Amino acid sequence: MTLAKKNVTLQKQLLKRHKRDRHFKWFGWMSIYIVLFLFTTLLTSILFQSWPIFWKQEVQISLPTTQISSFKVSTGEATSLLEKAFHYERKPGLKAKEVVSLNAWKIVAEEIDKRKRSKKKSVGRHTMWLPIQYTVSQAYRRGGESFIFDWLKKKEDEGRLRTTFNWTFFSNADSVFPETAGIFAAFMGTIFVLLVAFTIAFPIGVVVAIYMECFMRKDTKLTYFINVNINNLAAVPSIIFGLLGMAIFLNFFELPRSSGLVGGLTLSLMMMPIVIVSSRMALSQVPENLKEAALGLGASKTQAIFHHVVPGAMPGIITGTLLSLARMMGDTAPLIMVGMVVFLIKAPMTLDSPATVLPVQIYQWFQRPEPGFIEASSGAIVVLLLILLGVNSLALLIRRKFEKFSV
Amino acid sequence: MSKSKIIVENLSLFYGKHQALFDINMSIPENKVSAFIGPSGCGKSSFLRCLNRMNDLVRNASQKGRIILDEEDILGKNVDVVLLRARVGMVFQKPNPFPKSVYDNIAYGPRLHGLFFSKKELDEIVETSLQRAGLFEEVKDRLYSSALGLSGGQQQRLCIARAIAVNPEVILMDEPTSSLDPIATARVEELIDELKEQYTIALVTHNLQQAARVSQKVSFFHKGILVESGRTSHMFTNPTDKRTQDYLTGRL
Repeated sequence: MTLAKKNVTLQKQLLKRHKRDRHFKWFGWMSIYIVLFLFTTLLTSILFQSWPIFWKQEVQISLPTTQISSFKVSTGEATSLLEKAFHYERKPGLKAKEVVSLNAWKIVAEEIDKRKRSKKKSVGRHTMWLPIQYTVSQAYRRGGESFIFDWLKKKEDEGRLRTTFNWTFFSNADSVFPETAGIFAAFMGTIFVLLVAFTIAFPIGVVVAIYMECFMRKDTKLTYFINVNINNLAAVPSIIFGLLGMAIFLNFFELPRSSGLVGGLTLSLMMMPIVIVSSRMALSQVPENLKEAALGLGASKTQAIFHHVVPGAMPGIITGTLLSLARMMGDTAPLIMVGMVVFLIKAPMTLDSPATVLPVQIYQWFQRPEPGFIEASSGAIVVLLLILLGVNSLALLIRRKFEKFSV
Repeated sequence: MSKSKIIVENLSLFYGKHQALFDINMSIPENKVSAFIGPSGCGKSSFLRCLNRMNDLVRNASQKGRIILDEEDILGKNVDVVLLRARVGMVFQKPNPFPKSVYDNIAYGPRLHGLFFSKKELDEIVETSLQRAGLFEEVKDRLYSSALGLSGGQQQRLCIARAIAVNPEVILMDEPTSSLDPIATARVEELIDELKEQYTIALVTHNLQQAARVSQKVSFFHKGILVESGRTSHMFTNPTDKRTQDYLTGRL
């Protein structure tokens, strides 16, 4: 081949190669854009849908003077007080149960109880803010003709109607009314479940990983068998772990159904193989020469491993555990299997009391036919996503921080 | 030659079925530097690792023969490997300081073996070890910062200081300067020369000039066989074996 001919061939080849490079680059960018597009669509749609639940309208009502009984305020007492307050509004046909939340009597009762504790004899013409029913509030915002809306308009002009951030969404437990429903019970349940799962899965998982990675012979059939099984367990569908948890913890050990304890135990079964796999990965990445250095100085094998290999792998182990916790936080199916689908008007405060978790709460709310719960459900999704974001960035941060110290 | 610190008799080393060393006989003189030279894969590093039983870590590795350290066979069944390694220290090819402070690196060995009774005593051990390694002046202001911040040469001298801190009788060095630049290498060679006053040193090296500069005795390994062994001055000028001649002149 002459030099000229060779150059021509090279030129042709080069053109083709550059073209291929360009195509791949284009393809890569396209994929990234598609992923970003889908992701932003998902986020914005959820954010938009959840928006109304984060803002609630409240109306200021003056309670009539009344004597406080020495007993606990009954439902009837508080309700009649509320109706009386609406009667004083001098608007014929206006009824409390048609405007403010049907749970408003609870807020009234709480206020009266508070006053009783501060040793006051009467309520006096006391004013308080009460949440408006979700549907009424939404309809009022859209505008329309109704004597209730006229009344609300009047209140708004008087400055006695306000839209505030819905803090009770974070502090309340579940409710049948969207304006007073909150995620606190589910949040506490999530904390309990993760706490139990972590306390069991972390120590056992890490010890198994250390033993398998550093002490066990790696070339035997037994090790191979255990290895394959652990990797398999890490990929088993979560509902199967739910069935297992139900069979063992509920039916055999007869632990309290629906409790955070059982949920946590079930999740710990699921979490353990993930912790083992990620911890083993972290342990295997600690350079061998650290162990050799310690052995050369006269450390025993156990000392070399616990003084140098395990601390060196700790950042990786912690990161892996946090990521697996994040995965457990989003898991729903196994918890449904152990009965953690409950309606809670009070947050669980002990491990053995019935509890539910955030994803199950989302699932429950999504199934409700009443208006407002789709929005509540989306709101819970936003909160769950934010928590996951927090945990995952923490994991990333830990990895970053300790990367500098690796050899 | 002076008194022998270690005497090796008929040592053979096997990795599973593969035999790495064949019938080695040699003596390592006390308070001298003995260098092991030879082409890659000749078994000189494997031999060095026999001397403090580091080969125990390798699965399927087995030794035959005897290695006598002060009249005791260290390949014997009831030899405590931990104690042996406190007597026979090791410095590795790549500097491998622990990801801890300079102080903690040196103090690790003494802490393991409980070689001190007070904090003050430990401070002294750390200081003397660093001084003997000629590193104290350079690191005295950052004893408590990470050892990973030191330069490669400093790290290797730190590893030597760490080995000294346990006060061993023999120090094994596996190509200690192979990852260092010429200036750091010169510094480490100087250090080796100073250390032989107190310790017996066995050194594996690829660098013939280094062997000539620092050692008093040279052993030439080839394909797992100890070909020739003798005074450094004698070996480099009058090698008797053909293979040694070829290696020294760069033909092997």
